[in-house]
Amino acid sequence: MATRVRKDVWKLSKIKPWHDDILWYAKAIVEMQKRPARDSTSWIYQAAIHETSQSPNPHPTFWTQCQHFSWFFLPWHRIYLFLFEQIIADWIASQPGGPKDWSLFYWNYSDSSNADATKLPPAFIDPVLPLPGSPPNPLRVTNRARGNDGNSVTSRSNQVSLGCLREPDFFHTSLGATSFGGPETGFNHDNGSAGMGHLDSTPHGAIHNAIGGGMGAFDTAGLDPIFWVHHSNIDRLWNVWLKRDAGHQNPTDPRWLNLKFKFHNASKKIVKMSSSEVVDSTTSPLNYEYQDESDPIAGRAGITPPRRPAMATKSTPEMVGSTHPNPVTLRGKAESAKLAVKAPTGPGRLTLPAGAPPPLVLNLENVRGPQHSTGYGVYVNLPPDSKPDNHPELFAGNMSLFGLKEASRAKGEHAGSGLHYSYDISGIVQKLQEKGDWDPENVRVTFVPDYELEGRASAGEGVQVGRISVYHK
Amino acid sequence: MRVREYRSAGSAFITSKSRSTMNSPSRFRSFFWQHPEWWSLALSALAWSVLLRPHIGFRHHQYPHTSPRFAAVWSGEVLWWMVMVIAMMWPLIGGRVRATAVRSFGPRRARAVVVFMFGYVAVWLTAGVIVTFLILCVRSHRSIDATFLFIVFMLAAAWQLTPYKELALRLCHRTIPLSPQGWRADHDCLRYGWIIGGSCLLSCGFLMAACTVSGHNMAAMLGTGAIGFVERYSFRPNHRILAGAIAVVAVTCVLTPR
Repeated sequence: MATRVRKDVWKLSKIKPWHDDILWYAKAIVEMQKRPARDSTSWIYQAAIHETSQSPNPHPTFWTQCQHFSWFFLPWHRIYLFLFEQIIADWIASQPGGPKDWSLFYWNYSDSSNADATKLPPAFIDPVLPLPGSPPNPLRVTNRARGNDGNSVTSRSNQVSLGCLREPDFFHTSLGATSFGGPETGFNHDNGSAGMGHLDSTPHGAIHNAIGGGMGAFDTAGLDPIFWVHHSNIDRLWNVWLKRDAGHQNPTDPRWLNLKFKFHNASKKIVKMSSSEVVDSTTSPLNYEYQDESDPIAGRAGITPPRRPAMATKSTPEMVGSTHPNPVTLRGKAESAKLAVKAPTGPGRLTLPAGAPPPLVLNLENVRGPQHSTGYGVYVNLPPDSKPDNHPELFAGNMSLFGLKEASRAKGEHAGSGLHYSYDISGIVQKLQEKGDWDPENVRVTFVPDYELEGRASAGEGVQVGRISVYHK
Repeated sequence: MRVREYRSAGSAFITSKSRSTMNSPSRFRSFFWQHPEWWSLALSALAWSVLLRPHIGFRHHQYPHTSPRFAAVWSGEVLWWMVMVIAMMWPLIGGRVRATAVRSFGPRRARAVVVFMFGYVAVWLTAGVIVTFLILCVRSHRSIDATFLFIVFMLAAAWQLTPYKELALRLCHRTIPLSPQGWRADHDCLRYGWIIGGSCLLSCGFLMAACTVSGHNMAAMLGTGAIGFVERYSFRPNHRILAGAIAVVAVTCVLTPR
């Protein structure tokens, strides 16, 4: 079977705003939206596979199955996207004039060579289709918080940062560690507050938060056609990560490789697929590749987090700093919290790598709240009253809040534990030490909203950060 | 070796600018550091050794229907309930014990774990007092025959299939923020233990009660222990299969001489 190529949607849009591939996508969505919700190839059904708010869930085996904050994040979404693409491609191929090799495209919002990269492609904001009668355009969704006006969906460049590609490990096993793909978990279970994978947070969660509206919640994100194009890019970044460094490897643990996920294929038959079948997108059954899988950060300066020790001698990070019991409440304005960092006392203190930066990880634990209209940038020791944009060297990472309300629900899949984030701040601490600005007794963590909220949007319970902690790897 | 040292108010954070001459930690120390739950598992093994001692003979324990020694019998039943909890439930909360330790400062990890276990045990002790009282009251009015025992186990199997069981299992994985030090840290660890104990009770209470009704039948305890272990450590437990396994345990108990 020939390998299909998923193309860059902005490159297609520059050729023609309504490139044929994009127009066929829109037509296919119109068709899917006509199908009843119980039809596994319908628009509603496909979106509900991610999550549904229907209660009771009419299809508990197939709906509300999305994997986030887990090492299954990438393989599950790859399978989800592949089968969705099959539904669309099969319909397109059956139509007069429909191309037989149609493939989904990807939105490369991190493309520094494209000044429009962080804007929604024009076909996704056009109110009508370029067809006789000018029918409504299904690619434009009115409930987006940002992007429909043709402006950038992001407020700062680090929302689409590709620092995740520097992570050496695919997964991590405990709090106080970071990884590319996410923590080792069971099926959608919490892992003792281990932070989400770097890619899951940025750019994945950051883009969901940036567009906002329906894209900002698990149970409505799949109803926005940009969701699939966004996830195509996230899937592409998996290939990019694997290719950029020979040391980047997928897990070999049978628990990751062999867990089966149930879906329906384009023929409405139940299929069970596991991670082992989708580790290589160019082989069967997937047979696709991306137009551009080159390393976008080659030659760029940046700190690479230290690799997790080999399994035989795996270490347990040690908590060396924590805020006190009162949670930090965020209501769309900048907030700071202080903590002191102590010297480690456990075995980890005896294994300082030669010349490496102090291996510190900043955690945000048990972040809970209702759906929030902005994400936050997290900074370490940002000088008060300074502009965050002037201090990129102090930026720890994004706290995107995609999935916040779902993870905060006591009866939800995460039992109300909320979201957890881990940021490797070794590089920041090293730079502060070199400048003589690192005082472990006065470490300040600052949350800077992507978008300042005013009025009603800032009222209410806000987002509570249960605890801020620092770990020594 | 050049060392840049920052010292403030009694704490120090040391960085090394040249090759470290410090030794690697012993594997022994690393193991216990990585597995702070080890002692709870050791106690659990000890509890199993007590439960499995044949000469105790509590499989054939006869409860007097009317007895002036009700309080003493009841106390004994509560004690065996707690031995059963330590044996069967503690291995299932290793992850929560480890999470409590990892989320505490190094010097207070052991204390955090002990306080957490106190909170956990308190829930089960409270439940044990109530459950054993009820069972003894039932025994005082009628003998617990095979049919009654089978019904109790089948109720546990039915519970396994409800969405509330699924919810309880998820709640057993939850985390809460823990204060880092002082009395608030102890309070939060105790509260966390209580919360997890409550979730575990909701998840496994029916089965534990069934084991007690069976008179701590060996097949019941071993079967239930295995079911709990598989459920807890499966990546995606199949509740229908587990309910079927409970039914098998029920039948085995009924057929085992009491």
